[in-house]
Amino acid sequence: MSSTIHNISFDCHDTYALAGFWAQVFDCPRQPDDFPGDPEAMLLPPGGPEVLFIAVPEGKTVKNRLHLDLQPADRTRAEEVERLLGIGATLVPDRVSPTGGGWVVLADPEGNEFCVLGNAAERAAAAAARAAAAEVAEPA
Amino acid sequence: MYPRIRNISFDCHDTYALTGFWSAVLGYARLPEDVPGDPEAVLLTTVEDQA
Repeated sequence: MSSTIHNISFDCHDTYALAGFWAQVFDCPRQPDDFPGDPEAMLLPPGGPEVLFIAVPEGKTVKNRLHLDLQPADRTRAEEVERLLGIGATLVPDRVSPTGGGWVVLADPEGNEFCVLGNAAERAAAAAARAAAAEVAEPA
Repeated sequence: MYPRIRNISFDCHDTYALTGFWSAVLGYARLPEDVPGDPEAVLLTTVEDQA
């Protein structure tokens, strides 16, 4: 038997504030027992693994080696990026694809990078465009 | 409807070796098209992803 992914943990300074930001990202409520100054905070995003925030003394220094990729449900990537910027995310400009395709890299209020993918229709269109380009490059 | 976590990404040097490790940890299969030296590799973790 193997292990399962039980939750994703974020190291941070302010668990309550960061959980508040991510609660808005996922539109899920805080846990009732979480309070400002809590050394831990938890979120239960619908359909996703639990997300745990743990207070640590050290700051963030370099790019995270592990990050979340979000897929918008009922809006475009551009619309979702605009919403996320409005609730406190920041754009990480040197990570954006030069073509504008693929994904947009944002950071949460403590600097943790995450990506916003295209929605299902945008991803399907991009895949179709890639397939068409491959056919032109390598005709059957 | 708000976004969902589509996947978790690891930055790494050797995608094939690292997915081999995590495949053993989590019991998820490699994709047949992933090969050593690949710039990207994926492990499928949900029934929906495998559909």
